[in-house]
Order: sequence, then structure tokens, then C-alpha cells
Amino acid sequence: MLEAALHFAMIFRSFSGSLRGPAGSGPRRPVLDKVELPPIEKLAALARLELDPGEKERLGTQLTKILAYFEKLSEVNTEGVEASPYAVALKNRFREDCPADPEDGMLRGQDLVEQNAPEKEDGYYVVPPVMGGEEA
Amino acid sequence: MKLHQLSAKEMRAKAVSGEVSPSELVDSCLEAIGRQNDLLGALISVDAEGAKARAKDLEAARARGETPGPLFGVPVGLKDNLCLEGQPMTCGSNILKGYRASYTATAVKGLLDAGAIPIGRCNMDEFAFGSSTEHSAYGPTKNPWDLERIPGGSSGGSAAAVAARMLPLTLGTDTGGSIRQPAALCGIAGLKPTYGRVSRFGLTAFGSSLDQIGPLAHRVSDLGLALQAMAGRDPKDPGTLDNAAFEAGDQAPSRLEGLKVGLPKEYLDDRVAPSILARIEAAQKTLEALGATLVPLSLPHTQYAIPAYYLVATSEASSNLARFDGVRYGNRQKAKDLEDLYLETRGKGFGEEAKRRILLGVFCLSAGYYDAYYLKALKVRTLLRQDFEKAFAEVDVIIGPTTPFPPFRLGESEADPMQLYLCDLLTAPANLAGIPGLSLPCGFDEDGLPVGLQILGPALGDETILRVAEAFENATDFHSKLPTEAVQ
Amino acid sequence: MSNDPSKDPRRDSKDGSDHDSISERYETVIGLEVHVQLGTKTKLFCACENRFGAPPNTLTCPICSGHPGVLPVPNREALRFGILAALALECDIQGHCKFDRKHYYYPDLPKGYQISQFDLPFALGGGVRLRSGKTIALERIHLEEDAGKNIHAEGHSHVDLNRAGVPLIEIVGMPEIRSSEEAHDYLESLKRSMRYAGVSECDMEKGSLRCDANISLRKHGAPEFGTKVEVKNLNSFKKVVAALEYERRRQAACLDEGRAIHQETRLFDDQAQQTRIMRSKEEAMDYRFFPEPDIPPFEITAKDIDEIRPLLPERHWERKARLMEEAALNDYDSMVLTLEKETADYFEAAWKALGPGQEEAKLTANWVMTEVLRLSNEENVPLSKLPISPEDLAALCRLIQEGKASNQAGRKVFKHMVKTGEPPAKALEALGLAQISDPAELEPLVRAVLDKSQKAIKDYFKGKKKALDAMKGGVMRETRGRANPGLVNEILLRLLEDLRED
Repeated sequence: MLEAALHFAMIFRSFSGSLRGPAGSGPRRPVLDKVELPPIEKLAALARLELDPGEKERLGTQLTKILAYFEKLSEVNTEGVEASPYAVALKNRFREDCPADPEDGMLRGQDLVEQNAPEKEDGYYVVPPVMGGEEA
Repeated sequence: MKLHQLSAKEMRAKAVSGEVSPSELVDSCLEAIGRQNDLLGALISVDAEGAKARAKDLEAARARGETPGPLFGVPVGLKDNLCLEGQPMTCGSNILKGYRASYTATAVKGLLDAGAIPIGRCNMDEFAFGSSTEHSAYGPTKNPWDLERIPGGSSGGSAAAVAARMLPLTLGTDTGGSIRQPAALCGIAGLKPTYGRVSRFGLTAFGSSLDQIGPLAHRVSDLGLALQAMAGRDPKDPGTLDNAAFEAGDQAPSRLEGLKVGLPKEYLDDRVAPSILARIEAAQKTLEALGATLVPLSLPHTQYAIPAYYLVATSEASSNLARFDGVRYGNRQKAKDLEDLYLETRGKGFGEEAKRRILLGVFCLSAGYYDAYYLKALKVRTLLRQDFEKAFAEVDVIIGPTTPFPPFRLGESEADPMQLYLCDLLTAPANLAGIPGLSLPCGFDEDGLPVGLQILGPALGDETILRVAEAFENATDFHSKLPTEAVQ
Repeated sequence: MSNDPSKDPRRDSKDGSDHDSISERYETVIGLEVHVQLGTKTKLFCACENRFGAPPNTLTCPICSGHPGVLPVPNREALRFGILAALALECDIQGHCKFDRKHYYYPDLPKGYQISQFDLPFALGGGVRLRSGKTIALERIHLEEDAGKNIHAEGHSHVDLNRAGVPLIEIVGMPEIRSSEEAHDYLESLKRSMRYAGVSECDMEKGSLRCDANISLRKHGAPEFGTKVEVKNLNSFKKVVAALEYERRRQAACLDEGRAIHQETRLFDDQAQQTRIMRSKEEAMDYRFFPEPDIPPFEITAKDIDEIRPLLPERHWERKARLMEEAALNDYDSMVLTLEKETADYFEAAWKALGPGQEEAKLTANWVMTEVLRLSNEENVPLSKLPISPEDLAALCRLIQEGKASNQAGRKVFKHMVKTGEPPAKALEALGLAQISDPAELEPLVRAVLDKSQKAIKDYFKGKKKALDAMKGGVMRETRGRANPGLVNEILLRLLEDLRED
């Protein structure tokens, strides 16, 4: 707990003058070198994000720093603990196989294309040429 | 008192009695918006004509003898990540510039059915990524109490609009504190309901397992009215609870005899600014005076909430934002080929904070890192949840500060995003656990900046925390103090 | 692949059979992944119609178009269809299931992810029975949503989302197939299973059954599998066979030259009849699967399965075996009759109406396999909509069995029935084709022919057997084919013997 508090205090100190606590000379785990962030280019490609050189550098540095802080989780013993991917314990939420009520206030079909398609032709959305076959 | 300064409940009462018309309420709010919004940047867009037309429709319906709804004639603001069919929705992002919603969110429909009048769209951090409302493609929102400071976020526009009394009631969304934190920093009340209480259908997803829509208002009773209008099992949201419906009580409680109030030591230690701790200590005394019993307790995994929250939230966000590709809607960039279409549209469409979170989420879910990051976070989430379950076996509500520190100055957090992430320290646990939480004003610090008291309840304990909040509000007068003259 | 045209693996191509020199050197290992569209009324996660052939982007809503804020709500019927399909393939239905998100970018994938099932699919195990009796084990079956379609146009592509969100099951087979012929057989059997269960039309032309193939080669007896290559874009059984044959030769040529096979995904180019590389392993997708947080997990109970199981009809291979046993039909006939459930139903209804015996079965089978199926094909009418019901067919068969009509007359009666809808006896009457099987009626006719056939009689007594056929033909001519040939033969022989004694 002390360690965590010091860690927080160090970060807070840099932007708030109204914080209590020591100015931070306590022990800190050398966690930075534990994070192996893949090249930012690889992540950006996976996320389909064009980054300019400045962004690449900033984001790369920041992500490393953030992940270093997140390494904190490795302190927690989670052996035998179940994961909670859902917010609440629900199950079996199904709908019946009934066609939509056309009056439910949702735009449908060509109205969707008309209202928002950036580029359209003959009722289709238009995109630059797609190479290769289908994915399923 | 001017009309736009009334609470939603008061406005409704006057509109129903015929003392004022919905049109007059709309006009008064529009006047306040016109006077203050340029300064504050709380609303991205205002639909004056639509609001006026709807006010007339409501008046006509009333003249026909239709029963006025619980929010009859009340002008409201909607955070710009909520769908209202045919209306623009940008999520504070350049990538959705020009997008018009193709349907209406269930929660928004609830407000409409109750007789509310949507008047404008509230500014927000892009896709709700942030705690300062600085990360909006449409400029920052400012704190009505100090225009040099941030209003909190991501529902900063929703909070500032209410704090400046442009509107009595707005909707926000809360993924890690995005309703409660700006409510606290702007000196108003805000409720994050139990997960599954309000349908998420029509809320642009950020962290699917964390997001909830909730109301912001300057009076606690308005929160209950809004929740009543929105809550309920929605067949369009498989995550809504069977017993999600909510009925707001009529009688404001004056005493809290028998109520057990938990004080988690992790929420009250030196991670929190002393000026805030002092106000929370005063609030404890107020609650005690109302008859409540204070019970010190521990939520031992609190210190892990931030990493767990950010890992879960960004993982889900990176997935939820994959749909913004410029193919079917949105702000498409010129591209030479398909790959370029994705890279350019997303590269130019998303701001830096959005990119940061998408990259973080993509990383957490990618091959080789999933177990160490995403899965680990989900396990810690279970532990955090168990902390609350144990605590709520002993107490009825848990209180603490909403934010660990007062609002920082605009631009102050830019260099180090990690600082911004720590704002969610005391609010994110409720999202991870799916429990309800609210924030209401409990005083002011030495700089005159508002301080928020957070009240957390067990799952579906929304009514309890609203009751406690209302009793506290009745016993204090922090809610009646208005921000600087400049924004009146 | 080598750039040297003389190394073009197609040059090695023989007759497409496996019995070539390659199979002496290598064992082919194939595993198929088959996607089957489920024939529900609506899509998997929204209430849009699930229908083929509508104008582009007309069966869509904000949900299947991936608009902001939408949420998926799973279709109960899709899961029921999935369970039915899994029961048809003898899988183990799983109690605890969930949906997951699978991420990739493609214009026909509106959300940037496909909702699928990753580590908790709804069915495990099971198998596909081949005609040879071999069973190819299945790894799993999971439920997922289909993507839309990209259509190539001049200089750009079109996107149609009508198909986006249509329920699919993906049936993942183990690498136990050893030839392209087995692969073909596997697909036939699988398709039949799905059609019997009534969960899908499995029409490859409409894309309701699609196939990806994994293929590798190894030396006979090698303990490890070779490096596998995935081939996509196989939208007909013929293409599956052609692609697997091409790939087998390509890989064999590589291995023969001591070059390594690269793990990669290849596309089958129909025009060139060859596969070409789509992406290498290094470029392999990182799908970033994680649990779909919008959809709570689901459980399938024993009670659920008990409710669905009775809806599953006899499996096609069970039915074939039963027909071989009960009706004593041969392998081929029983296979043809069980290709489609409708055919088997029609056959069994007609057979039951005619009589219980194996002779009746054989007679009915012949008629179903020839006239009935031909009519159905020519008119493009399903058996259930044919103007001739199984009972009508049984009545016709009875006329033949009782000797009231010849086979030849029967075919004419069949055509007449189709045209007029008259019952067989009446049609026979109307056509004047009723067979003369009464000896008292036939004998005078035979005598009259004998009277005019003195030369033929003499020839017959001299031992010329052909003379008998001529006299028989005379009788048939006189009766315009209506005389019962067996009976004519019998009477002729008797009368001729009488003449011999004279």
C-alpha cells in the first residue's frame, strides 16, 4: 500500500500543488524495462491508423509508460480467480425469429444508404477496388 | 429566479399548471444558451427550431387533454454519443462529422415519451475518451466555476450546461466516471445507474461492459425522474436486467436513521487532495447528524482499479471503434486504394487520445498479450467486484470523494496522459463492478471550486443512493450556489 | 512456386484421379471447413429478413449495417437450427457457450469484427459419414454471422450488406480426408445431412454452403503432418476437387525438388484453374478474439436438446442402410433414393401404398428412379408438388404388377396422368392400353395368327426359334401391344405342341 501511495503521489505532484504526502523518494519497482511493446507501426497497422512521425514517437513513448504502470496488476494473485468479461450475470438472452416491425422508427435498406453513404452507386456502397476473394 | 434556473421538477410543475408554457421554457433555455455557450462550449449543436416545434406539439397534445408526462415540457441536453433519429451525432469526433443518426436510442425515447424536449447536443471527449472534455474535435468545454479549468469529462458538456443553468437536465454516459466526475467538478449531481438498468441501445459504445447512460441535474430529485423515464428491460439490449424498471419516490427523506454508511479507507487516504478530504469529512458529519451510522471498511483492490479499468475499457473500445471505416457512413478521406481508405479515414478522423486508446486496446487483445493484460484485468475485476460484495453485506451505501483532486487547468494534462487516467481512480471501480454511483455537491475548496461527494450502492441499489443523496441535499445548500457571475 | 514453365504442376496433371505417381510418393492430408447458412426467417442478430436475391442493401437495418450504438440480440431459432445440424452430425452439444468477436477489416464486414464463437463453441466432435463407410471426425461446430458481399465493378467495388448478419454454422473437420474424391464425398454427405435436417438449402450457387480447404502432403508413414496450405474461395464441389488436385500437384512438385512448402493462404482462380497466394503466414491475421461483451453467455440444457431431437429425421446414411436392409435394394439404388429426403419420403410412401414386399420395393424404386425423378427434373418441380402422388404411383405399379398394363403402357399412362391428373386405371382405359391378360380372350387371337403363319410353323418345327418370335410379334401387332407377352408365349407354345401331334 505504501508503495502504491508513493507511486500515485509522485504522479500527482507534477500537476497539483494541493496534494498531501512526501515528494516521492520511496522505493519504486523498476518496471519500465519489463514491458515489451511491439513496434508502434505494427499496432497501428492492426488498428488501421495512419500515424504521422510525431504521433508515432509520442504514442510509442506514452504507451510504454502507461503499460509500465499497468504492470502493477502482476502483483495481484489471481490464481483460481474467474474472469469477468460481462458486467452482470445474465444468460440466455435471445429473441424470437420474427421479422422486424417496419414501424419501429429505425431507418432500413436504401434509406440507410441515402442518408449516410459517403459514396454510393446503384444502391451499393462504393469503395476502392477490393482485391482477393471473400472472407467468412 | 429565471425560468432556465429552475429544476426539471419545478419546470414540469409550472408547465402542467399552465403557469408557463413549454415554449416559454424552451425560449428561456435558448436565451441562456445563447448568452453563455460561446464562452463555455458546453453544447456542440443546438436545435432551436426542433425544440420550439416540439414544445408546440406538447402544448397541442396537452390542449387535446393528453396526460402530461413526468418530464412534460422540460428542455434537456443529450451527450453527443446518443442517437436521435435524423439528428447529427458526432461523438465529439471528426470521423462522424456529418453523420445523422438512423434511429433513436431507447433511453432518449424514454425521455421523449416522458415529455422532455431535446434542445441540443452536449460536448464530450471524443468517443468519451477522457476526463476533461478537452479531447473534442469541436473544441474544449470550460468549467463554469473557473473558465481556466476543465469541467471534467467525458460528459463535460452535459455537466457544464447544467452547472451554468442553460438546461435543468442533461444525459451523459459513464464508463469509468464520465458522469460523476464532471458532475463533481462542476458542482452538480450526476447518476451512473446500475449496469443493465438503462438500455445501451443507441449509445455509441466505448467500453461495452462498463458503459451506462445516466442523468445530470442540479437537483437530485431530477435524477430520479430521468432514471424513471429511461430505466427498464429493453428487448433491443440483451444486457438489460429483468427488474431494471425504476420508480422515483415522491417524498424527499429528511432522516437516515438506521442507514449504514461505509467509509473505505482506500478512498480517504493520501491519494486524495486534502482540500477534498476535508469536505468529505464534513459530509460524514452531516450524514451522521441525519441518523446514519458510519462504518469504516476496506476495498483492498482499489489500487488496481485504474489498470484493470483501462485494460478492459481500451480493449473493448478498440473493438467498438473498428466500425468507423468510412465505408457506410462518416467522414471518409480520399484514398488511392482500400487499405489507404482505412488508414486515412481513421488516421485523420480520430484524435490523438482516441488513437492512444485504440492502440492500447489492440495491444491488449493481440496474440501473445491477451492473457497477461486483458484476461488478467478481467480477473482483477472479479476481485474488485468481490470487494464490493463483501462491503455491501455490511453496509447500505459507501461514500467517498468522487475525484481525487480538484479540476486542473486546461492543457495541464496534455504532456502526460497517465495523469488524466488517474482521475478515474475513485469512480472506475463502480463501473468494473456494475454497481450504481452518484455524485452531488458537498462544498467548495479554498479556491471556490466545487467538491463532489460520491455515494455508491449495491447492484440495483439506485433508489437507496438517490434517497441518501436527497437527504444530504435537503440538509445542505451547496446545490443552490451558482457559478461565477460571468456565466449567469 | 517455380517460375520455370516446364515445372508448371498442371503439366503433371493426368485424369484427376488419385491413382497416379504422386500418391505412390505422398499421402494427401485434407481438412475442410464448411460454412452453412441457416434458413431462419431473420438474421442472426437483428430482425432483417434472411433471404437471397433481393436488390442490394434492401434487407438491412442499423444493426446489420454496423451503425453506432447498435446491439446484437441473438436469434433463438438460429441456435435451434444449429443444434439440429449438430445432432445430424452426431456432435456433442455443449452446455456452456458464448459469443466472441473476431476482428478483421473488410468492406463487407460492417462492424470491423464478426460475432463468432471462439473457445466455447456450441458443438464438439461428431463426424461425417462417407459412402465408403469411413467417418471423418469433426473438431467442432460454431455459430457465427455471415459477412456481406463485395462485388467488383469498373475501377471500384460495390458493397451489398443483404447477407451481412445471416446466421452461419462453421463445421470444422479433422484432417482425416485423404483424397479429393473423399473431399467431394465428404461435402456430398455433409450437404445431405444439412438438407435432411432442414436447416439449410446448401445451395452453393446461392452461397448457402461454402468451403475452405486445408491441404498438406507427407511421405507415407511419416508421423507428422506436412506444412499445410489453406485454400479459399471454393464455391462449388467441382472447384474444391480442382483446387485440391492442383494444390496436391503443386506441393508434390515442390517437395520432389526439395523445396519447402510455405504455410500460407491461397485463393482458387477459377479461370486459370489454379491456386495463387493470398497471404503468407507472416501476414496472418491477428483476429484478436475476445468475449462479445454485448451478449450474455448462453446455456444449452439437456431439456433443450430433448425438445429439439425429435425434430431431427432419420439421417441419410441411416436411411440408406435401412432401405438396403428392408427393401433389399442395392447400394446404388438406395443411394439414389436417399440423395434427397424428399425422394426417400416419396419412395417409401409409394412403396407402403403398394405393398410391403421386396418385389414391390424394387418395382417402386425403378419407377421413382426413372420416371418420377425425370419428371421432377424436367419440370423443375419438387416431388411434393408433382401431379402424381406416391399413392397414384403405387396404383400404377399395381396395374403393372397385376399384369393389367405393360411397363411400356405404364410409361404412357404416367405421361397421361401428368397431363390430365386422371387416376392410373382411368388413364389406362382412356388410352386403350389395358393389357389383355385373359387367356380366353387371347387364345382366339393367337389361333387367328397361327392360321396365317403356315411357313413360320414349319420353320418352328425345323428348329428355327426365330419363327416363334415372328408369330409372337404377329399377336402383339394384332393387339397393338396390349397382349400380355408372357401369356401369349404360353398359349403359342401350347397350341404349337397341339399342332405337332397332328
